[in-house]
Amino acid sequence: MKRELELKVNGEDYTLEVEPHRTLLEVVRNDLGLTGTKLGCGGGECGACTVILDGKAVKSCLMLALDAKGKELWTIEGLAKGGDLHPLQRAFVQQGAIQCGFCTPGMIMASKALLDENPRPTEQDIKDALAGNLCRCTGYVKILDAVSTVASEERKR
Amino acid sequence: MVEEYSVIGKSQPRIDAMEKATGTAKYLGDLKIPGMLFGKILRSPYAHAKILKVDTSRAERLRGVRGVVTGRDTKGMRLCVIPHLANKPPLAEDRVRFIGDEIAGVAADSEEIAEEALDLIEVEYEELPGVFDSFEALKPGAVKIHEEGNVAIHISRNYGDVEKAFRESDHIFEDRFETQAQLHCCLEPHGSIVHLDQSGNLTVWITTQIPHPYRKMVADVLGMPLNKVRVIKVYMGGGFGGRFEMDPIEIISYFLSKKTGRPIRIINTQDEQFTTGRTRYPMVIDIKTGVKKDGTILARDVKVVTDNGAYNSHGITITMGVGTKCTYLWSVPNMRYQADVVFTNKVYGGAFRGYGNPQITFAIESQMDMIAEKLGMDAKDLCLKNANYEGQSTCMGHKVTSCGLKDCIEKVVEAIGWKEKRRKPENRGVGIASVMHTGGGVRLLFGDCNLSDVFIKMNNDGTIDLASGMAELGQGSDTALAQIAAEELGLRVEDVNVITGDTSTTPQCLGAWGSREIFIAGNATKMAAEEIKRKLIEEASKILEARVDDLVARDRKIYVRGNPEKSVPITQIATIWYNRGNILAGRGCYDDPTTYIPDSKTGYGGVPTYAFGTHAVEVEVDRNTGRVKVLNFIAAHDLGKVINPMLAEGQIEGSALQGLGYALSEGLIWEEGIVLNPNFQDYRIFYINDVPPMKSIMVESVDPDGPYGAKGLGEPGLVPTAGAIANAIYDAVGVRIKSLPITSEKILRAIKEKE
Amino acid sequence: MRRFELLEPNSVEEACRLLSKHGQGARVLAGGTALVKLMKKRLIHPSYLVNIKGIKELHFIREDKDALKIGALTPLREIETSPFVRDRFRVVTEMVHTIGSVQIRNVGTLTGNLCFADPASDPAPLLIALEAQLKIVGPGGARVLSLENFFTDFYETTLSADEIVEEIQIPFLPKGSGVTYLKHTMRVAFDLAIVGVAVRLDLNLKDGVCKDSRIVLGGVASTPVHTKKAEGILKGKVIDDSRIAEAARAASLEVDPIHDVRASSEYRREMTEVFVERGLKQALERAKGG
Repeated sequence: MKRELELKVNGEDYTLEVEPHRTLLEVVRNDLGLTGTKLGCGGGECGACTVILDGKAVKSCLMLALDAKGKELWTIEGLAKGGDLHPLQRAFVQQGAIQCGFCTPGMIMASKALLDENPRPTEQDIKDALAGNLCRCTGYVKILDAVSTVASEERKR
Repeated sequence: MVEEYSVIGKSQPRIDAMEKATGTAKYLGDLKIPGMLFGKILRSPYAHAKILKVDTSRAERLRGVRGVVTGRDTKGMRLCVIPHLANKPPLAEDRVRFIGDEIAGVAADSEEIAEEALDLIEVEYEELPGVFDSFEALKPGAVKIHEEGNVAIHISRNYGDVEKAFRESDHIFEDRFETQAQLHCCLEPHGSIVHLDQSGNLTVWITTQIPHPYRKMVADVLGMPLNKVRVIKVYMGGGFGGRFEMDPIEIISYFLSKKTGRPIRIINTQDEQFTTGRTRYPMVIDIKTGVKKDGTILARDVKVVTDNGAYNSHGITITMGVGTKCTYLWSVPNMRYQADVVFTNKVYGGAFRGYGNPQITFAIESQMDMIAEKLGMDAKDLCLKNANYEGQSTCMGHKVTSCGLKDCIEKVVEAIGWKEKRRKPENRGVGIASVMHTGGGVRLLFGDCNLSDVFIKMNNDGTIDLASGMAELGQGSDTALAQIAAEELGLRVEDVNVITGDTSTTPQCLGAWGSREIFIAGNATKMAAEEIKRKLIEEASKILEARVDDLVARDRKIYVRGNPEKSVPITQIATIWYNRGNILAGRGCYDDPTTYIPDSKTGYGGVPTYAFGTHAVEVEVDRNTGRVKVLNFIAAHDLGKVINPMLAEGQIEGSALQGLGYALSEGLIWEEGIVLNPNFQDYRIFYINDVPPMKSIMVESVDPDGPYGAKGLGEPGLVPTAGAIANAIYDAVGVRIKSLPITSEKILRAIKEKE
Repeated sequence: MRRFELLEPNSVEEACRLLSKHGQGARVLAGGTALVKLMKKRLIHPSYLVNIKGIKELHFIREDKDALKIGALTPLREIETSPFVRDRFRVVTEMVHTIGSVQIRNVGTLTGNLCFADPASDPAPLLIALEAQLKIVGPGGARVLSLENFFTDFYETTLSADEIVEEIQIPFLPKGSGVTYLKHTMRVAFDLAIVGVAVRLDLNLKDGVCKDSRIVLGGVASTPVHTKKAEGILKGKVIDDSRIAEAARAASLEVDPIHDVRASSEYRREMTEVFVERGLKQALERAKGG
């Protein structure tokens, strides 16, 4: 039986009708049409489904949609403002941190959650934040570089 | 004369990066095709069984189920990327041969309903004994997996006289090496959307590396004319060779679409991907090498047993390719090769980055290290002594055009601190290993050609649309083609619209494999651009009253060399042509002429060009746990002229980590045909904290035939890693592990046995 | 995932009532990271999920007179970043950091981890070594159970279908205690323990004699293993390298390790010895004030 789900997504209010067994990932992709968040493994092992819920990075494939009730959700689609890329997106683009791009939204959201909480992370802090995000293409080197760049830009300020 | 390029050699961000960074790039699972149904496949729970009966009636009656197909619908069809070897039915007819073998397909309003329907399909099996080891399968009296027996092919090759060479050798080394089934582990599992519409047109949305050959495969298997088949390659979540053939999924979907009249989407779960997706072929390699005491390699005698799995895919061509690769490294003058490709009741392998080279290179490079030690030589000197070189002809008659191998060896040896760290006590060590690989595809698959066709049209504002049948998997080929076209025409990369992946809107190309994208499609792009450039320059010479030979294209204008003020904007020329009703277009067709079997007159043959590289690693081994820590990793690759350093580095880094995984950690573990580790956690893929300090060195041995001297890089990056790691571990703690992956347990056991 | 009915009680009593009513057909939903995964893999099919996240009183980290108390709904990440916890039990902060990834820790709870009873659970052996207790509430009332007696088999505990763990109590350590948790994995992070070793030494600081110790192993058997014989070697003695080596060997012989895709039983046995030895040395240093 469907239940009402009220939540804020990328700054906008939504009221949805959702059955309890639907995951947050499914609802984000199918009901909200926000396909930027990806289904990689469905078991919390790859991080491609990472979104930010009430300021915290979570793996949406392991979360029931109804558990997001009353909360604020951010997905990759909510990052660029009026055509201006978020610094993380810009760094990923400029520094070659993207190849096939499937892991990219999850990597960026996990990084954003880190930087929102800790604007000047160390290299190990970044690795801790991305410890559960899989990338098969890049070898992670340029992903780490891109996030570090944004972190050091913040340090200069 | 050193040319300063405006776009070539620049670290240009990839042209599709924005779409990917903003989440707007649509991958297969993101597409919504009107009327689309969702499919699921019923797979065999048995490794080997007869199918006595399949009853789908209850499934068909389930509300929301729109169609069910079985082997009755696909009867007689056989699939394989090499058609004459095809023995895989899209849906089982009377027998299943591995756990996961497809038996039925269901299309329903939702994946959930389709899944439920699978539980309602009743299958009666008669379980048969299975064989899971290739040597067991070779024994007389072994369980027969196919009518013809368990040997898919026996390969035998002979170049020179190995017996004579062995007699002349001062030392002979004989070793056995074993490699495992590595998985591509693309983050996006495989799948397709297939639609046979009311007019009889077939559209396949798919993650494929080879849109045009794939289109032909589908058309041939279904008996359809090519113009009725459209293949659309969408954004792909990784490839690495895993998308280099037709999968039963697409044919099953075709029949479901035929039955229902609707588009059918089937996407594997990661569990299905782990248990039924293509793997790298496990091999057992017996390698016998004869050398003189001064280190000259005289002969190589290799026996390979390839575990083919249950059906044919790339196993035969890969194993043939390994035979060729045995003639590559270290200028071996005499070579004998024998191989058996053997069926077992396990999932069947397929193409994977390196195409057999990682397996054989692990064997060759481990043994080289052992040879050097026995001869009392420094391993790097043994390599340099036998190194391949420009102008060389291999014992198979293949000609090496450009070669930066020596450079690669010397550079990594210096960067890793070889002299200071090699053969030192403590538990640290360094090791090297090299690779020789094709850098431009080969004329072996898909007919006797290695071609790419590119069309470019220039719009009346000077921007261009470039259409190529190449496939962008994430490796950056679209961007590279844009850079090549932009450089040739004096444009910027943002002036280039690259159209790839759709067989209806792009010209013929064999696709992305064999590290051929830049070499073959790049050359075609350059040719197409040159045709337009000739027209631009001709027009400009009239406008500027200058000689054609004095004009260059750069910065969006045509100007007189040395006098940039005397110029005309390209936009202006394009407008003039447009107003005249002329067509500013170019076509480039590059079909590399190198035949695989050497030409008897020229002696020239093989592949268009070779890519070389050397990896050096420094490791520290914990003697109490066997755990390996990679302290430093240096990868030098000779890729001809680097088109885009940032993207090239990304390829090296990505493939290096795959190589490290292959060396130390990854591999499917089977028991009686059951995959015991079908997830990222237990398969042991590496994450960000496992990445060692890495340095990429690019050696540019300018290739005479590549576009701007470029050659391929897609694959070599993971080929030598396992050998380098094995050699470094030996240097660190004196144990030689000859089977992959080199796990902590293996190392610990070997250390204890030594003590 | 199969369909289920979602029940959302506002109190512990109501939750227990619902669990009692639906028996084996109901499961408790807290963070859900383990539960949802099991349901998606179709390994369990509860008809009812009792979502306790609405019971706000279960979300706390408190200091009592003699113990640290952590409520059932406290996410792992909160425990990881809590200055209280770091202050009193630095080893717990270190251990929690090794569980999964940040995304998992933002949602998963410590209680949930214990109730899931994965044989490779990191908290289980460490909290047993710290002599943690669980406050369990059921329709019949509340009881306090030593964590040591909680685990019965792979993924099984003594918790009845109608009970909820309300809080975890970790008694403060006496002066002269040193505790460490070592996790042997094949990868640097985001990995399950092949062997997890929790070691605690309570030293008499005046003469360096070991008053008591706890050596608890995770990842080697179906439940955490408390190696009493090894502890017996240390009790009442001055701890030196040879005693440590002896205890480590004894611990490795006290287990009957499992064999699975991650490691053979032989390797687990060898690693038990290696890491108990390393753990004892580290615990000794910490006990002396390191």
